[in-house]
Amino acid sequence: MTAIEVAGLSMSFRAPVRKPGLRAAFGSLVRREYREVQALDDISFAIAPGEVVGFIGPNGAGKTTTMKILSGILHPTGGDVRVLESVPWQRRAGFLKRIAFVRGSQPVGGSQELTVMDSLEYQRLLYDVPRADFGDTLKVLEELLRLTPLLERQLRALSLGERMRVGLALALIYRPEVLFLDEPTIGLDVTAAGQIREFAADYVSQTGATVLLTSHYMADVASLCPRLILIDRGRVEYDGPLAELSARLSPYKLVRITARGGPAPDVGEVVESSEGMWVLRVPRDEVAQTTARLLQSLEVVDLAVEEPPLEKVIDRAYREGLR
Amino acid sequence: MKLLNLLGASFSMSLRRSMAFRINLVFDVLLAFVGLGTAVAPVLIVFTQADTLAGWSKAETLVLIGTYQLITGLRGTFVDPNLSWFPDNGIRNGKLDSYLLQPAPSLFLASLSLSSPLTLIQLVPGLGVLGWGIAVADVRPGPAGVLGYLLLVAAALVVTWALSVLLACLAFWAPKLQLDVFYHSAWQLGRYPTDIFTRPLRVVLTYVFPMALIASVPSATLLRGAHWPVLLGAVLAATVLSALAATAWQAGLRRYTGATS
Repeated sequence: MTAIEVAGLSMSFRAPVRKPGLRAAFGSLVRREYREVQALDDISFAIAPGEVVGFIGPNGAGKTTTMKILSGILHPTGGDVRVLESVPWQRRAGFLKRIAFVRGSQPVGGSQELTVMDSLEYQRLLYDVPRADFGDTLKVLEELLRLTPLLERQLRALSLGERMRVGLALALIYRPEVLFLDEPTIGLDVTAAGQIREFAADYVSQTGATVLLTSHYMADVASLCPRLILIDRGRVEYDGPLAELSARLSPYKLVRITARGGPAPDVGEVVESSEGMWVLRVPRDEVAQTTARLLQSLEVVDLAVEEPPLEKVIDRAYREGLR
Repeated sequence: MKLLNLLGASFSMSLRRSMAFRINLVFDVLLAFVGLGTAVAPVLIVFTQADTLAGWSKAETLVLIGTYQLITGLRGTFVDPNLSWFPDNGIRNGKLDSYLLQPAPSLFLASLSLSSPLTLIQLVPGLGVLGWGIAVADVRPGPAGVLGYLLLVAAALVVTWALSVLLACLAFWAPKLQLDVFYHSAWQLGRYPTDIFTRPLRVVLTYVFPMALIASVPSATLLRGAHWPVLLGAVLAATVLSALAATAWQAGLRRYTGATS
């Protein structure tokens, strides 16, 4: 049984193009030229119920487009998708009641003059949530999202962090089984982002929801997602455990060493140094050998072998390409 | 049933929302009276010089203006808040995306889920002029005329909604094309008896862009009596246009590639 199954998903659209200049502009009146833009190219993956998966990739990789297809907003041009055994773009009411798509860039739609409670009540009606269940869920959400002081406020008067909390409450009041979170911490300060992460982790452990999360903040992904799917230019480039991604993308480890006196170590590449402390970049298969050499040649006070920070690995992968 | 509940809930929410804008109420009332005044005044002037205008008596013309005002008010209350300037208001700000995620028919959500209750105030002067027209008429409307009138007003509302949906659907094919100004100008033609126009324009206003159905046909029915072919024609027009609107909407959604990234 899978919660989300994607096979050979493709999405392309025609975008009008023309050369610069007035002549080309007039020319395009008579003969319009288009370029086929391949937003998604043969994407396949499957996600089991209860799994929390990070969906990452550089800007324009196709993350949001994939999420829009999985949640039924867009029709793909090819491929087969099943979410909770339904074809999303048929948008059957029964299916839409079981999923939620929360976007950090637009956490709360609808009329901004309404209060949070009015909006929640409308959701109750829209999603046919029985009153008793509504009350119970609201109680849980009030606690997890510290919602109580916000209930009587108008949506337009909420801060960005509050809007995200309310956006999550509106999406979760009907207890969706599959949750698409698109950049849920975008623009939030460190504290607010931390609270959203904490909430997401709590919600998942309490409800067993399946989550697909996109984020440019590796802290979100690293703290929530045991599994990562990395896409670039519309193709899946990696699908597997978070820990292995680092090993695959970066063939190096970092050796952090503090030594008393003595010359600087002459192995590996020094990437950081301060008085008596060095960080060396060492090929993975030479770590043991290098450590032994360092221990022999220097008066070592402290030595640690670390994975390179995920943020840096991903950044390099985005900039230098994944293929 | 659920759609009625949702309609009720959204109307109530819109009412709550509009309480935040009391000053709008004053302007809506003012605009309604000014709009109606500019429609009624020329008619009164014309009827000081003539007894009929293209076969329409003063009473019939007043009924027509009142009916036009009623339908314009209902359009402004229930349809325009959703569908006017659709490419900007409905698509680019991401509203359509959120409607598509909700478990109710997307066409219903996109075309009827918002309303502007204060605009209903426009119905008051409209009803006044309608009553005035009926009061000065030589004959009282019979039961068949009244029933026919109500049916035709309902059909006119459906036609109004369907035309707005069709116009909004253009956004899926030509996102930059905003024909609202043209539509609103053409709408103004509905406030005159169709008979005053030359034949080609009359044909267009009856069969192509059926503004005749909005006010001329219901008003004639109220005071001159109901005719089966007219009633059937109006119901047929409403049904066909609704079906066309729903089909265009579904076809448009298939082409939709998203408003935001």
